[in-house]
Amino acid sequence: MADDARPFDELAQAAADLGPAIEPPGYQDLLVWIVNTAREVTGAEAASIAVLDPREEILRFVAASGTAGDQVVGIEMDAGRGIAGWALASGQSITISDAPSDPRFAADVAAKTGYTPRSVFAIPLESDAGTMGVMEILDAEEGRDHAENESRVVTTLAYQAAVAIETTTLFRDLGRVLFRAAALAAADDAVDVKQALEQTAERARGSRRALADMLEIFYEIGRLGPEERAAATDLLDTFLRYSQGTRG
Amino acid sequence: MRPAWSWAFQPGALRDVDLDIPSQITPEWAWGGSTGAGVKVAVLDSGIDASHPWVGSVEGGVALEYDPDAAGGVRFEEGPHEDLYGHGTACAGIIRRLAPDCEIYSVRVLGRKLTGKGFVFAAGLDWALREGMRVVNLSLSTGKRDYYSVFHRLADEAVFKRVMLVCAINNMPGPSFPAQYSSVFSVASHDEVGDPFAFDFNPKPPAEWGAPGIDLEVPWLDRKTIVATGNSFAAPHISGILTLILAKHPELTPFQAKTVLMALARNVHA
Repeated sequence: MADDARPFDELAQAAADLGPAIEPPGYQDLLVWIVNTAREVTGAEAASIAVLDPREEILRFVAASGTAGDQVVGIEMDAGRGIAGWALASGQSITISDAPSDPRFAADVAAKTGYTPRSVFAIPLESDAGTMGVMEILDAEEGRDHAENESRVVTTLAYQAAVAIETTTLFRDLGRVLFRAAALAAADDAVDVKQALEQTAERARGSRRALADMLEIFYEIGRLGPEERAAATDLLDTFLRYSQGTRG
Repeated sequence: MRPAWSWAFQPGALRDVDLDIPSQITPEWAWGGSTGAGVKVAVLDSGIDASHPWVGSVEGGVALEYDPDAAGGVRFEEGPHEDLYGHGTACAGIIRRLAPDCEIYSVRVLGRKLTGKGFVFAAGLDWALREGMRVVNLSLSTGKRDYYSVFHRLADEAVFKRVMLVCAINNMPGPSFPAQYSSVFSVASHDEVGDPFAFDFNPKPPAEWGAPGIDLEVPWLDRKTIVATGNSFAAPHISGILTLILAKHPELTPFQAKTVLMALARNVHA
């Protein structure tokens, strides 16, 4: 275990740094651009994106545009309530045209911003990896000429937001999985770092399983000689550039 | 030694089926005089408020919750339960309006917790198939790829049990299970509000059926109504019409029911 002490320290540090360090650039800008565009094409008073934290079952507003936009960002609400909660749970978008008739719809947010919308259009942000959050469009202009096209644009924007959130969450989880492995190794002297990573990989499910497997490989690469490490990095870099190219 | 499955076709083994196929399918033949009596309809949603005047009554139901310690990861609680959001009550009210005497069952799969919602959703559908429902209204969907085969198996099972799965289709560009499978009735909304029987057939699926779902007054929580828009309100219209048809023609399979619906759609001229 003595030989593993140094890698363990490095691992814990890497885990803490990893998420923010490798988060794709422009994520926040993209979400702001999406809510601005969604609001403009629908002629709405306001638009916002809230990201789901599945561990705490909380929706956290991360981007907002229009009336009370500045106050909305940062607000957290129970993901199991109101119209946003239903959209999240059901995977279906829904519009309520007389929202104040049921104060549950936007009560949490309205109380903090002082703005109570008449209509709420809630769109679940779903990628094929699951539910990422919800986009809300408040008081969209009624009877617009190109409503059908607007609706297509909005749902396409919602899908882009979902994919962006998914990608960013994956990167953040990379640090989290690594940290769990480090904690496991720290808690039990008999478990070395490699073993801890293997155990984490075995317990992880879905997309985190793939991340945990990746970490195990990175750890092994990290223990190779400098030349091998450089070759492995080149290989990964080439692959990354290739896949980015094919994605256009 | 006969090959497997050949026994089903032995003389005496096959059940006689009475199917009165008309020379022309008319609304009168399809649902004339029907009230939906005797047909069990499950609403997989957020629960149903049985005391809402637009709902009338709820025959029974079950509330499902994700529970890693329970067998299969899902806990079942049979019996009455409240509606957590209002949406299940809206769907039940739409079905009741079309089929006043049908038997509505509430299968609550949308709870306050999102964890394991796909599991719970699948377990709810499985419950409906086991409990003899003939129509299942699913105003919900998942785009998560992990559930593709789970829902496909259940959708196939539904066809062989002659259960009509009526699914609101998601508006997103991504996948939508089970709405995108060919055996289900996938429904999107159009803006007719006056006539609940006004439905359309889309020759270019996956949104195969159009029904009222824009700016509709629907029952909600606290015995109130609200004005709402969504494909999730269009689906129960098709569920209600299928319920009427099945009360008169209980032998129909989902594919035959699609033929009947197609012949009676507003935009189809037979």
